[in-house]
Amino acid sequence: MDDSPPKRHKPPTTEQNLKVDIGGDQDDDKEDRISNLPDEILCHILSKLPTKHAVATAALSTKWKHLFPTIPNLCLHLDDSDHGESSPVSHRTTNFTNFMHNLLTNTLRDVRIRKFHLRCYQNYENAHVNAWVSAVLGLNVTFISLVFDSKNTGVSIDGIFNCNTLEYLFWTQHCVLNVPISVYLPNLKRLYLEGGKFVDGDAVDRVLEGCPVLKELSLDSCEFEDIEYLCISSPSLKCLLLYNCYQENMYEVQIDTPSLEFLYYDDHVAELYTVSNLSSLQTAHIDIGTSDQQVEDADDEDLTQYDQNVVDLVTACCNVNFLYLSRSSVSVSFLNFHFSY
Amino acid sequence: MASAPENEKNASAPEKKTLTLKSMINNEEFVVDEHVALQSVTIKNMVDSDCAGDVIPVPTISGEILALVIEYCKNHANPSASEDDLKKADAGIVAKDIYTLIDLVLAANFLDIKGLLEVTSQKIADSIKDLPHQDVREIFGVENDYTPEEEAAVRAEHDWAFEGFP
Repeated sequence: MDDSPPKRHKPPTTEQNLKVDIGGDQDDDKEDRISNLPDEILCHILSKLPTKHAVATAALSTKWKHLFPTIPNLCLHLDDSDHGESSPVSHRTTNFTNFMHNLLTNTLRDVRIRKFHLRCYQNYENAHVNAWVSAVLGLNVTFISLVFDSKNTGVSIDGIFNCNTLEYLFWTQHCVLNVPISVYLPNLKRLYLEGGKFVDGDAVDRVLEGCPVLKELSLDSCEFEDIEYLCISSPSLKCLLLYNCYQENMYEVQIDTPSLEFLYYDDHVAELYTVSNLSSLQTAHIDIGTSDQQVEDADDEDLTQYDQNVVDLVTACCNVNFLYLSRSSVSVSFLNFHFSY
Repeated sequence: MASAPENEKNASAPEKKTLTLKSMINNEEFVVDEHVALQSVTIKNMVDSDCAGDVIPVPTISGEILALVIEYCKNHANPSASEDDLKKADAGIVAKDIYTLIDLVLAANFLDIKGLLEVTSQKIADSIKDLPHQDVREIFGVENDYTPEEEAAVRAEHDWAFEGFP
């Protein structure tokens, strides 16, 4: 056995070991230091750094420049508010735009990534945002999370509705959300949409038709222009969350989801409910009532109809193991509900 | 965590199978319950394929680091430890200087202990996150092979990543 002293890192005695003597006797120490952590471990460490910091390690050496794109199952987490608050907004957005362009089209060209999380607080030209997301869709991504806080910034590309690899899509934007005529997301399991404005009433219909294995759908504060029916029809859907989507225009809500196990519905009462299949439902949380606007605009007949609508929905859900009803939903239901059990 | 000596005789309990791990760097030996040691996939493979003798030699890992690894394995082999307990214990194990952490991550990688590799990598990442690049080069023994112009070009390409950076 070799009895030579173990090759170990020089034990740091003080904080100074992290400091560098520029031009000093660095080379003498180098023998002791680790200089060859395997790339596999370096990649693992890089994958634990915030994306911004991990990308910046490219400036360490040529070897490190090539490490970042080789991280297996790369997850990008980008937030335009990270640091740099001191510089002017226009400078920051230009800088971020260039960074995203270089990262996605140069650094990560032909790389596979697993997750892409983007949060933008500032305004960006939609052409830029569309180009970033298009590039990401070409990298075999399975998870996309997009949050655009600015009212004018958002994604508008058909590609996001036509992607073979996508399994999770979380998407918050406050501008128009264009759903193309043809939607094909054959592996999408979870879809969360928040704040989007749908320009036609069939948009949700088309999305569901194009997602044959969708398990979870959440529509939060979405707006529907020119809509008569909101049709949630999916044979695969197990979990449905509808929250605050009912605005001024009245429409009917149709639900046909034979596999649905969990329903969370917190909204203003719809014009009518047509619930055709909830035979798998196990848990329902229902909080629906009239909005001030609805009460103001309604005559007595309308109000009776609204009450009846609540009753209809609750009746359709009554075969569950757990049913939560809000006060408004309960009061209406108890007044009208004929308990048949 | 229990601090009682590992080999204390306990007449009432059935004899547990133990393994002896020996650091080949300083010949330190550790007697460990088999189920504790088997959290290392490398050791498990050796035991499964009957390659393990009475003493399992562990090359390239010092006794000091091996003790940390065994502490981690003991904690995680304790079925009554809650998730919170384990988190706290893990944090204690990785509360070390950066060079010990690098030894530890190498050990976790060699012994193939996924959980330890994760917590150690995370701790290293947290430790180097906000350090100036020159310090990171020092820690990892990176030789800067860029010309000043090349380095400036790399920085310019990802300018935003360097905003607010020391």
